[in-house]
Amino acid sequence: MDPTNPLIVQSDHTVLLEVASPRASSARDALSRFAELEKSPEHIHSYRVTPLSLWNAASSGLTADEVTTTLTEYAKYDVPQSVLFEIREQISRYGRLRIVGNNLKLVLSASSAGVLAEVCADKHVRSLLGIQINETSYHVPQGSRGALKQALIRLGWPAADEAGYETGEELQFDITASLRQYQHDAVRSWWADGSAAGGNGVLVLPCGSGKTVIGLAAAAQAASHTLVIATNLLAARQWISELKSKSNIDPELVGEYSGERKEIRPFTVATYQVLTWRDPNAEEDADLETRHPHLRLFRDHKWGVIIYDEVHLLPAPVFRATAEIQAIRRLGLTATLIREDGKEPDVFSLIGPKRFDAPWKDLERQGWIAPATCSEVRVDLPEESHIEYAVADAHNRYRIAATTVSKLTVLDLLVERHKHDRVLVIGQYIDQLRAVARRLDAPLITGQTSERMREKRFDAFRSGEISLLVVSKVANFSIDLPAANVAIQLSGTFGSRQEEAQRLGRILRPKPDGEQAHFYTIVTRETVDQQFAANRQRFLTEQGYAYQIVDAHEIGRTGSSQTA
Amino acid sequence: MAAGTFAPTLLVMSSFDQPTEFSAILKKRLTDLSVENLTELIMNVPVLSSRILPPDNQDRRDDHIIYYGHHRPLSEGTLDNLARFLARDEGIHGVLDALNQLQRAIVRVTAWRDGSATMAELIDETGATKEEINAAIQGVLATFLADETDQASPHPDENESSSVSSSNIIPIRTPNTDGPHVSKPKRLAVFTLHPSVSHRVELPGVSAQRFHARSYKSQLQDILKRLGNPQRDNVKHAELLSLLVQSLSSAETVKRSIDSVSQETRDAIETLRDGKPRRIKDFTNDYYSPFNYGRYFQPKGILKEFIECGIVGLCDQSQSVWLWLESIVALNDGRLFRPVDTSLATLATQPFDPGASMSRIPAAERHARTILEAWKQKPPTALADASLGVKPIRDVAKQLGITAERAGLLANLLKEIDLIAAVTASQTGKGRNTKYTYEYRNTDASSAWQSISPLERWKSLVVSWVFATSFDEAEGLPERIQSGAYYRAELRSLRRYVLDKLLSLSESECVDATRFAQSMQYLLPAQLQTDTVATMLEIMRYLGLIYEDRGDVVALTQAGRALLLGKDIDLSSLDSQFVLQADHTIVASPHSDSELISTLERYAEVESTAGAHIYRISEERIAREIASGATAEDVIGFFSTHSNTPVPQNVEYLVRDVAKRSGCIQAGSAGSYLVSEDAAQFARVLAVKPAQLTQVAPTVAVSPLSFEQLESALQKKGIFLPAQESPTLIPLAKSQNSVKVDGPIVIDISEAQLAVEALCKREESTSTSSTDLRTRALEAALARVEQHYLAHHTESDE
Repeated sequence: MDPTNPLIVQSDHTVLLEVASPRASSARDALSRFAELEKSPEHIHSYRVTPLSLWNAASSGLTADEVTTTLTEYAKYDVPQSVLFEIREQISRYGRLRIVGNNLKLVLSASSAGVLAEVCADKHVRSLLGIQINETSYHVPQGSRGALKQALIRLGWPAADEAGYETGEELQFDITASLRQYQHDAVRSWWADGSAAGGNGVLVLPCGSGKTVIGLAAAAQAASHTLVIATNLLAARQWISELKSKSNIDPELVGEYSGERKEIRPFTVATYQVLTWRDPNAEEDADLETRHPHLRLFRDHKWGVIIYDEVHLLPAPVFRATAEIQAIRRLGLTATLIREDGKEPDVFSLIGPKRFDAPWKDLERQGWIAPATCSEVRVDLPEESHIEYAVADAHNRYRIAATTVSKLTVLDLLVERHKHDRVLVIGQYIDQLRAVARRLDAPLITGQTSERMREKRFDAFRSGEISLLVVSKVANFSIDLPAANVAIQLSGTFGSRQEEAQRLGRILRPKPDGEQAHFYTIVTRETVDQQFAANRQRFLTEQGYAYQIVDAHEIGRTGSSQTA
Repeated sequence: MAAGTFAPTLLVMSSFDQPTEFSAILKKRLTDLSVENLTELIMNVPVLSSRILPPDNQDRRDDHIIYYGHHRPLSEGTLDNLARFLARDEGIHGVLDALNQLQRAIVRVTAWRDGSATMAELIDETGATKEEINAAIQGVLATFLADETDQASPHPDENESSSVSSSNIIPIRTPNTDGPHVSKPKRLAVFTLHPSVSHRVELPGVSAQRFHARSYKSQLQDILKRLGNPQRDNVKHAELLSLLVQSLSSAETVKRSIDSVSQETRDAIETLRDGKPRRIKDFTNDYYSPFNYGRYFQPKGILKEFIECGIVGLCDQSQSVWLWLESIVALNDGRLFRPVDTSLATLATQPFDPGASMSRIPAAERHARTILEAWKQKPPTALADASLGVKPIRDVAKQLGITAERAGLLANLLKEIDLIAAVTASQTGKGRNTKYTYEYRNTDASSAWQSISPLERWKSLVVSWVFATSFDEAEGLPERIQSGAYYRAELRSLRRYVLDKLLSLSESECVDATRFAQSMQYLLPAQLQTDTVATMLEIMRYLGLIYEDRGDVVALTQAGRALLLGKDIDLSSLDSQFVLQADHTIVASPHSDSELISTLERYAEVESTAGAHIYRISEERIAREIASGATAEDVIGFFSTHSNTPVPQNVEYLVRDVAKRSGCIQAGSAGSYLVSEDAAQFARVLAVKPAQLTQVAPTVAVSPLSFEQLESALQKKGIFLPAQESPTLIPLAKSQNSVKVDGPIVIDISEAQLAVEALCKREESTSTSSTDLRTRALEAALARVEQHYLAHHTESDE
């Protein structure tokens, strides 16, 4: 027991890391091999040792002794025996069930008949298995591979999937842009030397840290036909343009599979929208591919890698389709592995475990994402709205508070303050955004704006032709606006934490001169707006961003002094 | 304290047959003792300490927990109580149980040798030196067992006893010549037990002399015959018994008997040489009966040989078998024991550095609170007999990250302090078929306990352990709560005895844990096994009475020492800092001052106490605190005092926001109210001070007085209110057709009430049903009131 040590191991399997400790850095390196980073506020980061994280560590060759030694060596206080016991127990479970064979014949093999009997006692698992070969192995039907892994993980018996992957058709290209160290690390941890132990999983990196490049590098590493699934058309086109500009790929080999075009090429970028498009003529109880005909894209071509952009948004039909294509390498990319629907375990079992996670503030310190200040500007609800607000139902209360005219005055001041910057004004309510666009004489992009017009306006913003853009939540994800350095949030989807993080992400692209990014969120004081804001900020504060709270009149003062 | 260092104070037990007279003598002896000697006596006979009453006007649990007679003169009543107790069987056995191993060996050897033993015999049996034996005898004498009238000079032939000085007050007397000892030749002894004590001494086996003291002569003759003695007629019982003892004590006879049996029986006899009775079933399936041997109960095989060899005792009731102690001693060449390890008499101390990290409220206090919290949220279900099973205890142990035994201990202590209790959760069936289910719930006392200081809470846990009777360390730590379990009350004395031994070490001394347990067993062999002591030490470690992290050595913590001595406990070095972060979380050390934790819990909700304490600042809790009188500055001040890191600005804002919101709405009670739209009249009414009217709106005032009091106060100033028609509305004038009123506004109460009802109806349902007559009537009333007001206002404006 050494009070200067950086770790506190809790009996609920969380591990607290004191950032200020001299040994914090080495402890973090050791810890991150078998624990998941949960949050990283300014002083104490929280990790969690989960069965999944331990199985993951075991799959990479870490032993129970190494894990327990790390904990006891760095722990400030005695490590609870229950934690050490659990670590031994979970690590010993990994590898006792293995899925082996090849794409023609899959076998679930157990280290002992007892383990197999235990998992087979579960009806669901049994239904996913074929005939029994001997007392320690069963045939596994090809289509059951993903579902079986899901079911086994639920039972607490992870199967080591050693059946490998289909190689897919060959596609050779190189990334011409140079990769940063963390991008290299991320790709390497996903690829795992091409072994069956890697080739799947999720990389969690902050917005603006170059996830697209990592995806492209992963595809180049796999050197086989690649399918990328992006959130929307605009994002898909961004992938294509990034690919063309940062690699030596023949543009002829790149295709777009969207509502507008249905190109299937060796490197194809599709959208969630087109894949989940539902055939209106299909029966309700028809099979998945009859209802969502474009999901055939997964199987109709011999893909070597499938990349899921913004994996935290992966829709249910795509999940189900993914369960059936476990023989293809998979890569998920996201900034926040928070799913508002709580489906994180499905992401883990179908796309794969988290392979890499970089704290936002670490990348900021290294200069890979722009340093950002977050401010919450508080305005008052005008007196005339008090009664309306007080008698409104819960849903309308937020609308009244979020769209109050008081915000516009502050918005004016902020826009004035940042008149030399590239400013995004982001909001939830279209009426409010229209009013703002009129007031500021700025172009507006909402869901109703045509793709062509969106692209034109984003391009104008990127090129510097316009410096102020008003956008709805369509710009939350995957929109690359490197020049943007100020975001002003007027309203949002209630208390969504990942939306807040994504919106901050819009301005985190590193600026040429290391310039600071500014994220403002304008909040109506003493209303539900303020409560939602507190919840929205939780993810970012856990990532180490401290919100500065300022009053509207202070903006006026500093604003006027600046302009003066 | 080492054995044999008692002051040579003599208690006299002259006759156990007359306890009243005897207790009077004992009381005199006790009264004559100095406070120091009395303290020593009580210290060394644990059973006595439970007989001491607390000083007047003192709750016994508030006193030192070592014992209440610590260096203070005892009251008359207490001395009387002690004397009466010592005069009874229970007292004598209690004193015998307090002997250490050497004293016990001396007493046993003496009892075995018909109540007297020479120094040579004692040295031979115990392996101790003459000085050690003398000291041990002094210790025995200091407590009881000698008769001063029996003192005599040592016999010149007893060389070994010649060195015993007369100042040691060693009584020398001839053995009692009554009873079965009649045939014993007279001899001088160095130590003599009173015959009444003698037969109370537990021997390490079954003595034929005692066992057959009341057997029939025919039975004795039967055994004597089997041992090869000729039949004798007209012999007294005592003579026969003496003969039997002689035969059984003869090594020759015993060996001959053993040779006469089969190898199987010889092997069985060999296993019986430790003196312990064993079940006959362990050797044969045959049933033993001394009588009525019929065709069906003919003893055979090993059982037949047991009966016929004569050196083995059998009991039909317990179906057990043993080798007579006399024969065992004969086979052991006249020895009763193996030598005693007298080095265990002293606690071998080692130097000890208590270090700086002292005086924390031990984790057990926090764990106890967490258990109460957890069980408050979800009371654990009890078993059918209202016990608490292992499952809920294991669950809470897992939650706390401690062993189930520690959680079990805490659960038992909480029950001892009456903070949890089994209550009937449900009842099904009727009459004899009624079935109850129980659960453990926090008692009313639990909230009071949680409101006292952490230090007091910890003290209460320690004290409740010392006094606990619901579990026994001899059985290890409890992993469940046994309903209605009540173990021997001596446990309390034993715990205090062990604590007292630890307290006898100085702050810079410690002892090896294993050696300490062995020493305790040496000092109180009848009551303290090494396992029992090890369990007690485990409890003390958890309760923070001894250091937990010092490996195999045992030493009292500063707080533990202070608590045992009833001194103030220094808490200055507790962890009183935490880390406050911008995500509203607070991380506090697992060794945090409980006071700090208590305050923190007023402002933040617990997220985890699975080691370090993690909290999340809670708006609701802060609001509650502010509502009950705290200010934003108090809360922020607390954070900035105790946070290792600067208080994040957003946290400060949060607190100030909450404080600002607090007090926006205020409520109170008002006795009556008054409405008037006539400004002049209204001002006149407001000026009446005894009416205590406060203006709350341009035309409305309220008063804490009842309507009658208000009316009376105004009447005194010549202002008359109209008669009250409703207890809540006080009109200033009756309804009149004319709107031209001189003075206050006119309201028709019945109309107004109908109007209010109509308004409420409108709120409830926006679409008023046209068929609802009542609603229509209400609407009409509302319309009339509205018209009325309109007219009034119009005219007034004009």
